[in-house]
Amino acid sequence: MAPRHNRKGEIEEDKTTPLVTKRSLFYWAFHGNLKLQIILLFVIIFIVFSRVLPLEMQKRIVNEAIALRDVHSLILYCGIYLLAVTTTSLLKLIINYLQALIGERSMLAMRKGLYHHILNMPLGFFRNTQPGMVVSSLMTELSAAGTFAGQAFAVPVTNVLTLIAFAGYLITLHPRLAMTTLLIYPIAIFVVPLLQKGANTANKRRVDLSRETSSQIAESISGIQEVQVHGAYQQEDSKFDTLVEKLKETRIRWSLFRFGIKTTNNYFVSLGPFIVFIYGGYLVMHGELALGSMVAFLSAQEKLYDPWKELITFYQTYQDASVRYTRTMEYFDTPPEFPFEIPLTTPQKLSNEIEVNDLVFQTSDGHSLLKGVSLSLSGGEHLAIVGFSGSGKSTLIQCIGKMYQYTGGSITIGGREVSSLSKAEVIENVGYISQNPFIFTGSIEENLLYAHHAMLPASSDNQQSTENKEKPDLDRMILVLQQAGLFVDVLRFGLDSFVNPDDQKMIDTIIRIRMSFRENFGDRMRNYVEFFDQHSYHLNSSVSGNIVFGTATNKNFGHHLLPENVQFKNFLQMADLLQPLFNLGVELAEQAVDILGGVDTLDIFFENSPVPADKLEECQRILNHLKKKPPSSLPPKEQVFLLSLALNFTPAIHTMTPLREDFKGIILSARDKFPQWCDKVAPGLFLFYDEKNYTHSQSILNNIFFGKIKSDLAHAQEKINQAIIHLLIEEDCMEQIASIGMHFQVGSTGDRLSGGQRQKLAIARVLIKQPGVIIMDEATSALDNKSQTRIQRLIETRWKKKRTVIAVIHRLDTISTFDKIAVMKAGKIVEWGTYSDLIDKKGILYELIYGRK
Amino acid sequence: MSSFTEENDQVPQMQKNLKLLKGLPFFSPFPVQALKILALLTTRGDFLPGDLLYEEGDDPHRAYLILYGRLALTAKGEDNDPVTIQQFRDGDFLGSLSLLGSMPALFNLTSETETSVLTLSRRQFSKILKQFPEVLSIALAASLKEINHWERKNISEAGPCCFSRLGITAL
Repeated sequence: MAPRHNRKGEIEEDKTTPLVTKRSLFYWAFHGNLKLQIILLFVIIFIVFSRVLPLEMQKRIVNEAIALRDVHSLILYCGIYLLAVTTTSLLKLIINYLQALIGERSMLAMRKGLYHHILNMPLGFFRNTQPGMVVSSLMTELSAAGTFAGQAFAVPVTNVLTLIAFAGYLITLHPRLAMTTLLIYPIAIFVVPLLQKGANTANKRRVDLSRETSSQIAESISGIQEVQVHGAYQQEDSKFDTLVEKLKETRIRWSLFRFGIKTTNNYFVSLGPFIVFIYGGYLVMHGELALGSMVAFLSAQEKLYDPWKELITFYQTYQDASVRYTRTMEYFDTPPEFPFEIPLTTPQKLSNEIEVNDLVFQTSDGHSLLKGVSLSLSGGEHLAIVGFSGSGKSTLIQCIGKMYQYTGGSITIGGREVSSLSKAEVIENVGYISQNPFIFTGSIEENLLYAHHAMLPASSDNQQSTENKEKPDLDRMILVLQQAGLFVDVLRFGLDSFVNPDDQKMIDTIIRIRMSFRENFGDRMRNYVEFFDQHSYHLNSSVSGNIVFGTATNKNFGHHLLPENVQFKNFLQMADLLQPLFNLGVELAEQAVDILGGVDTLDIFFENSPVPADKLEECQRILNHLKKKPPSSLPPKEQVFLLSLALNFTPAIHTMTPLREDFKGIILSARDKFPQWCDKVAPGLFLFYDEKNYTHSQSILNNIFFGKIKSDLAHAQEKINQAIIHLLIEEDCMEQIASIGMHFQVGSTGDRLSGGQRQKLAIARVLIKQPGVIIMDEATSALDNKSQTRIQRLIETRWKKKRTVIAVIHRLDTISTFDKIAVMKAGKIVEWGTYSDLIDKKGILYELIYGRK
Repeated sequence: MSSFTEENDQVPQMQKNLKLLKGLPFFSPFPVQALKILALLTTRGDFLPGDLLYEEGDDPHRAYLILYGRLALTAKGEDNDPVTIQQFRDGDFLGSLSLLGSMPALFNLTSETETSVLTLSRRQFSKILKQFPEVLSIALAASLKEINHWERKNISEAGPCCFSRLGITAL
């Protein structure tokens, strides 16, 4: 059955059309492009006519106008010639445009159709398929097919018509001569396909090899961590090398055949003039042919090349496209197991009791993963499935969630057989939380609403309007985030964001929170936050931060640019800081070289180093220089480098070098002088820290602190969170901060979130859907103790008797609250009952928990 | 942090950390450069009375050297009341096994007084193991010695009633 995709109406298929992979290449060229192709045909007929016309004019100019010295005719014929040539060029442009249009449209349809098909393919298919392979199929291999689709009609028709027209014209000029020169073409028609066969074989092999190579690259890159950890560079290199070398050979063979075809063809075609000269010359000498006719004949003969060459190229494009196209489509030629149709109406809610009877699941190679499993749960009952790995736990719940088609027995949800439910109905009624949930690039909110959006009826045409309508309100989203234990994290993302500079109300609120934070929590937070204080050195800020004690309003004066800023250097000179900073720079370089010299450039080692990993060698060079020569001989670039080390020195982080009292003193006095100097040089260049002013270059959190966080230890974070939440509630702006946090971008595949956060987000994603049945596949395994307890409590208090829960559980200390426990072994349920029953029975569960007696 | 740096202004924090690490049997046999990097990576942590460092079931993934203060290891007793199993004081080092690998904690660790610690994470330690592979065998030897010492102490102190609980070194 083909999927119906009615979003844009471009892929409208009904159940009678074949699977996308079964369609011929020509289907795409004509389906939906028929009107364009007909317009193209008309343009082509015109162009053929306007191509032949100049030939006739040529003949008349020589034979009639020049020979008879008729100026009037000369102007007329030249005029027609010019018009014809101009029209030809214009029409050629139109043809190219139409071809491109048809080509792109067919490629779009092909890509959309195939992509949609791939998304629906059975999960099993993807176990053996690398993402890179799918990418190269969709993006590279299909593009050749698209180009071909644009040409499929226009090129052969134009060129065959042009050929016939020219040939006809030649015959009218001189039948015998024409027939002789045209003899060449049948020979070419015989030889070219022979060579093409060789090219096709090489091309097929090339497509397969490219696909293999993309898969190989994708695998190595996805597993790059393993590769580097095990130092398996050689293995990966050699796998890759073998493939690309084979690919190279195949490509050379392919190119050889392709160019062979071109050369052979060119050779035959260039024999044409030879025949015209020798035979035509003979005829002219004997007065059987006018000289003007021979000139026209030569031109017309030459004009035959172009359409002929284009036909041959077209033939090659066709062969190439058809090889790539068939190879690609063959690869994906597996029908979807459960085709998904975007529902036209919201699917029906089912009641949530579950019956499983004698369930059997066999893999395609005959392994039985489930051997007759039966169970029964009334609505709202909670079942924990435990057992050895490979016992079929995951397979069982994946069958219930219709991710795999079971091969025997039955599963019913709310009395309806799962295999007869549509995918949409299953998705509406069953929430599935996996062990390694996938998070998509985008914001927290987008991920949270991912499953929710997918279920909206597709009544409107574009996605934007789906996003705006029926979005759950903020309160509901916050509730769900709280239940999943992600709320504090989201709040933290919000706090780490920046406020819109125009939002004066928010800014005022934050300043108020800052004041009450200092007042109510200042003392208790002193261990975790270092507050800004005009009169003391800030250990968690750099030297330049301590001098400037504010933020630049001009980007050229950003902290990282200060070392090379001449004006700033003048200030340092004036404040007698240059020499001490130079000494500090040298000291930092020495320490870094001493401690970190010779180690691998692992980022973690350099977290507390003032010298970045890639600058260690430069330090070494400078130190060697200074051993032999005075500091003044150091090139300016390296002096700037030493200055930058010193200006970045942050005592709380770069613990290898002490902060000396005298140095502290001169920095603090420089801080006092700095605003005056600024006023003189460029007023308003810096905004200085002031407890009453908002600092826009800092996050909301740092603005509340009016300082910097000292410790990244978990308990410190927690204390800070508690204090801040308290204040946010007091100022009634928690929702606002949360909604800012909801826009936090989670990074590609969610890599800016921790494992626990990803899992919580996946749980929240299912919670917002409110399904009657929730399936969890070790869904809390990545969570810390506290979060796990929270989810546990949620299951116990909120879901009991409301939502049916089936959970595969790894940690046995959390199963006692479930209504039923199933112990699985080798594809069967070997123990079934309540927790206390099974413990009393002292069977397998007892052994699993307490060990063998 | 200021009180700590003011003690002796001219000695860098990292050098002080280095001296402390060298004084611990677990770290003292490490190569000098490894120790220096460890001294650079360790961070200070300050706890108030009642603060929880980790709880049962967590992966502690850190080792702690107590600079001053008192930490208590507790377990859930009857009625879920915490029962103190052991207390750690100034100069005590705990958590070396957590540096070697992941293991759910069987106890809670809380601070009983204002406590300051020097702490190192497994993430940091594992990079040291990668850079200095010889460290692994040194660390293992130190751990085995510690476990052996611990059981020897239990044998001599525990009454015959509890002998059935011994034997961890024979595992």
